[in-house]
Amino acid sequence: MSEISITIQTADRSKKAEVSLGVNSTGEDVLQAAISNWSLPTDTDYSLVNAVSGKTIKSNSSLRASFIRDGDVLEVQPVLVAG
Amino acid sequence: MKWTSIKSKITTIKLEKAEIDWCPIELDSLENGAQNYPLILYPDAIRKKIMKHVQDQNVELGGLLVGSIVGCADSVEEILAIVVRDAIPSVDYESSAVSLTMSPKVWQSANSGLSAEMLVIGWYHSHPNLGAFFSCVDKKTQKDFFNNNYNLGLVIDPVREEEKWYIGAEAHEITESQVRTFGFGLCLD
Repeated sequence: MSEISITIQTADRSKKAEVSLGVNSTGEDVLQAAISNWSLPTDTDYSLVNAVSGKTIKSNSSLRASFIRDGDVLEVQPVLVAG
Repeated sequence: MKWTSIKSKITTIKLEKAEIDWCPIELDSLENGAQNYPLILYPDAIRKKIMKHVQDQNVELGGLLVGSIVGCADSVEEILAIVVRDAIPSVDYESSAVSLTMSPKVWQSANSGLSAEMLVIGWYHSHPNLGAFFSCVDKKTQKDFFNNNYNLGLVIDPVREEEKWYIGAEAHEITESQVRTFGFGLCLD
């Protein structure tokens, strides 16, 4: 299978998307798509996490190498800063 | 990549359900607060948990607030109350006396095991001996990541024993009369 369908959501679960993409797409590709489609801040660091397993998907790893499968839910989790 | 945004359902607790399940003191607080909606229902046990986390430290500490929303309808357009049910401390962080960076792991801790009516409703952090107020950085974080109308921001100065609550993308200050603290945990589980 060269393409999978997954759900991507923000960490607070207020935004969700159904996404079809190639298994060779990287974590960074997914993060950039989320930032672009949801107009998320670009001056923030994010983690991409499998919401079920809790495992972080490395930005330079492909979804295939991260064992992401059809139907999985990935969460975009921002670093929070306070001053 | 094909990207299709879908509606994310934020489940509220309807007032009718609260009327069945809640203790009289909670309902009384809810019904007598009509001039001050949304009310923030803040059990003393959670306040103590947060104070235990942030007190006796001279650096900023923080975490996420978990809770539920009471509304007239299914949508979050008309909120009667926001109920704080737990505080999740960030245990992976970098901080100084005037700054705090919380790693994304706090989201995983907060989101694991949430029921349909529970969600991350906001965040909290301390300002030791600086006073309780939202700095420019705090306002930006609120606007960036806590920008729904039910999202709370709590800042605490454990030294001066001050606290301030803010709500929504523009971080509007919540009046003291809107925050109801109970001497015991809420009855609704």
